[in-house]
Amino acid sequence: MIRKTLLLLFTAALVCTVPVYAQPQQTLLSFTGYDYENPGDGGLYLAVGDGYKSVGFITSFGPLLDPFYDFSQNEYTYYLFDLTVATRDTDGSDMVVTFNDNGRVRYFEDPFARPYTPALYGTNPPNATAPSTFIDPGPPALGGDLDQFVLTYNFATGRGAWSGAMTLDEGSDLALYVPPAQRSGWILGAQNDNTSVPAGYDNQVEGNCLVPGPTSATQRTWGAIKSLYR
Amino acid sequence: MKSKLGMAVTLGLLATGAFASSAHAQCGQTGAPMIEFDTNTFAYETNYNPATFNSVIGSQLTVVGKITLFCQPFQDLDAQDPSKEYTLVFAGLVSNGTVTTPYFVTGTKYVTSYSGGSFIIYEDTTPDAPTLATLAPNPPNAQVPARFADGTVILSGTLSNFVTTVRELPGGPPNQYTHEFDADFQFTGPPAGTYFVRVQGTGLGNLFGTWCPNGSGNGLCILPAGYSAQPNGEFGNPPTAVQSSTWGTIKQLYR
Repeated sequence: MIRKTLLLLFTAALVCTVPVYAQPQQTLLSFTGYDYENPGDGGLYLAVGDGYKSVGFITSFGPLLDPFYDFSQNEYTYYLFDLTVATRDTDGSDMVVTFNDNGRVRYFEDPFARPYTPALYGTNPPNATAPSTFIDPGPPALGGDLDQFVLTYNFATGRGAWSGAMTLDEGSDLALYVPPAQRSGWILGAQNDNTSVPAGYDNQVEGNCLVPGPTSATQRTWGAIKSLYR
Repeated sequence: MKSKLGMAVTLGLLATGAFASSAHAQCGQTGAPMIEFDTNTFAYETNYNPATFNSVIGSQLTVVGKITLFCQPFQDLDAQDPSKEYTLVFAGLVSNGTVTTPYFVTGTKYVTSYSGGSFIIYEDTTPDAPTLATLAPNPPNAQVPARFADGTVILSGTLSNFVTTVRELPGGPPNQYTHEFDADFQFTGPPAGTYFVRVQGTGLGNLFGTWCPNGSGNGLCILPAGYSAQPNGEFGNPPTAVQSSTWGTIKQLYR
């Protein structure tokens, strides 16, 4: 009996001392694309009630997804949408825009093997190819709800940035690859109105999504664990 | 015979490019990045306070990172090749001091410009650069910048107008942030290098992306001690050079 108890305690100690490196956050994926207003294009930039959208390509995956996705076999795209301007403030050349909650971002995997439709920006979105060729085939591999989305822009420099809280809640790969503890993070973007921007789009976008890192394990003795329950 | 051989080589190179472009669909698109660096890129300074986002005048900024994607005219470089590692180092960026101003009454804007600067891109056949998960604190250390600055120099150049902007948004707490960096770059070497000759004579290109300062606020990045930010960005394609020529020289190309 004593031997069995010791064996159980020894086994429990082994289980509890496997080291796992904790990271505060990790990159889920990174992307580059263009943004545009829809509805509400033209007139005042991002007036209250206007819609903000972005389409583009995923350029790399972080450690959580990288083992499962293959750029040599698939095209990876994103679509940011359902963001409606709630407030708009300006101060000199600076602008701050807040958006209503429940925007959405979706990430798609389009295999080159199937009847493949390359994602094309075209001009003056929405158009015949954008967003349609960026959101095929459905359903998305991953998708998430966006809250607290805020966009800051400087009209003098033509540069801006945005951030928003992202909660992954849909997609064919969600349950397969993203543990529940790593589904709520932040989506970050930088905007640049450089000369590459196609007609009808507003800015080039560079960004990434951050999610919590893997859950850490702390080395504890069996006695310390038992004391938690006394 | 010689011209046929030249044509064959040219077609071979084009075929290589076509194959590589299929690996990253966006490489064929208007405005595709030339060089992309995501995820594992880190900045640190000699005199920077992460609690106030303040870079002191004269502080030297260094950025090290792993390149994740090459597009035209470097599509034959595969940043995903596990047997190689492509890294970048920005150095020689000297802070002009952080200018802190109110941002919409209750927020704060932190703008830091840097003078000078250069960049080097390395190809390393013994991948060893750390990721965020393995990044040692307090650079410079045994890892940083050494493991990003090893291998063969395949491209180098100068940086100018390097500016970082961090905005602590009004309305907190909890505080929420946006951030970006922006700079110009120009390729300058290495002279006669295989990859440099493809961009020799091009004009100033644009370098930009998110900056993600070290911190625990919403929209910031928690990094090991000693790092100031985790940039995520790209080198855009610079304007193509215009080369003067004579009509006779141009006709020679087709003979």
